[in-house]
Amino acid sequence: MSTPAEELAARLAPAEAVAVWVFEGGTFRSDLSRGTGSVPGASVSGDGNWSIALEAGRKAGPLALLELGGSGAANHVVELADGAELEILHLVASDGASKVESGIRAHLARGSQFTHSSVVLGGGQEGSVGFQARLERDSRLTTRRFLLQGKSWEAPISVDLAGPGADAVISGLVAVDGDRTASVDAQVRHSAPQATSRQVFQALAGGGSKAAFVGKVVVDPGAKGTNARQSSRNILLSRDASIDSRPQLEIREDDVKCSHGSTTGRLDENALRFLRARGFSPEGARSLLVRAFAGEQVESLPDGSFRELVESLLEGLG
Amino acid sequence: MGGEILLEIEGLRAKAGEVEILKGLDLVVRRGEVHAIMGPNGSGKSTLSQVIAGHPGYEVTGGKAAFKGKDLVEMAPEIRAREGAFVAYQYPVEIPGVANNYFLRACLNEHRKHKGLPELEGGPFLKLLKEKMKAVRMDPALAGRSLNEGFSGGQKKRNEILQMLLLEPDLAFLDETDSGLDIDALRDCAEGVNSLRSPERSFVVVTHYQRLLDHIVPDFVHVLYKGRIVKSGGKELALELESRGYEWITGESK
Repeated sequence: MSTPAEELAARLAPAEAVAVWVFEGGTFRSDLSRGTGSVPGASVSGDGNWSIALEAGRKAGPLALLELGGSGAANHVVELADGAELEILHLVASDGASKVESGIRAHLARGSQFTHSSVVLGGGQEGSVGFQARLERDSRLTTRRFLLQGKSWEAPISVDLAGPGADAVISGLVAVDGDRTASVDAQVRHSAPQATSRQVFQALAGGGSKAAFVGKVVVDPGAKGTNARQSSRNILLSRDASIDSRPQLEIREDDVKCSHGSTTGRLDENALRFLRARGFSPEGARSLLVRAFAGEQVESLPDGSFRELVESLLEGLG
Repeated sequence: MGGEILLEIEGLRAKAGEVEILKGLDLVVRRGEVHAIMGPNGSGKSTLSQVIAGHPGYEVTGGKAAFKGKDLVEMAPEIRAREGAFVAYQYPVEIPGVANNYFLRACLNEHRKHKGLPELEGGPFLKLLKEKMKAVRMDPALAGRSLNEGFSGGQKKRNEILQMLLLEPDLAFLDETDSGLDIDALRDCAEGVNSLRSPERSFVVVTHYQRLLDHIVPDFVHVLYKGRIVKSGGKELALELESRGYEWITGESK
């Protein structure tokens, strides 16, 4: 008979990952992990923090970090040397009663590339999945988060484009219902010239839930040629739900292109009516429109079981 | 023609908001028949289509409408559709992010489930879709695009006819399908309709123009005016309307 952790690890570990590190309640479970010895530069400390240091030009991934159970606090560290490339799939499946805090801190040296996708699932009470990165010259970052389950979750993000030509794509999809809450707080700093950043955030809120998005872009003096874009698109699925979207720009340089847009609306009544007139139930029609709304973020994920997991979590929404 | 009665409307009254549009409309459609409904602007043609589709913005305030002997007004819009009543929209809705082929398959499978048939898998569905798209001369590239998004007027109407061909309804109610169509698109849509004509199936074609009726030849032509059918006849009535206008029926001068 398998324990809940064994069952979850077997179900959630993405098949496409070349190595999977499993943590339970903040403790590394080598017995549930696989392939971890085959990745040079990766290690786990005694207190359950994972780290990887990729040497110049090395490539690794996709690697998966799977955190199970409650009462965990983890600070994972990614260090990419010049031209290194890494992809991480980060899954936080909390069912515990106490707070979970998990964070990744990354340093991207010149010309390196880091792709990070994270998902929060399970009935965990509250927690946060944090992300911090510092980008040097010509490095590229893609970081995505899917906050689709859990009682009360936060996703603090801090990205510093510190080298010329650095590029960051930062996205998040939040779905809450009942009395759940979720918030994303993104701080993006352009401290070097000619860097680009794009933030794409979307929230769906039903029942009496609350979603919040604070997105701040700071452009330092001297960061000429900065191109920073930010969009926040949101759908309220019920009368009692609320979405608070606050994009902020703080620009201390003239030669920049910055844009932001924020919209909050409801599912298109005409589309719902049309779908019902074609034979869809009200629930089926809503679910189809919700998945269409979330489509762009889901489609940015490569094919694989991580994407399938996100798609399955979106199935029941609407 | 004497087929079984499919749609029976008697003294139907309906309001759009606070305004009464249908004021005692009668119409009986039997299996195998094609009816055309014509009439000047504002006579209630589109309201009738929307009432048949179950649009919540229209309230039925009197009379009755029965489909296959069941009270249509009491049926949820999706049940009407699954039971075989199809309304082709005058202004088909664009739905960004929902792929047309995904929508079409999901739609067909909702109907199949209702009929107790197994759902159609990807392969057999694509084969069927290809065949039906060819029948309405629709660009195969439109299968993978978002539903109606950025489609031309003709492509949207072809897409409506395509849905009808896939769903094979018992009753198809076409709300000004010909509006905004060029001659080729008009012919292709009409051919789609004609390919479905059978002794089991009925059509109600709502139109402004006799032109469509050259392609879809009706058994009956009705004139809708001020919310009621004020005159009915055979296909020759459409020609007469074309040459004489509505004035001789409505008694009003322009």
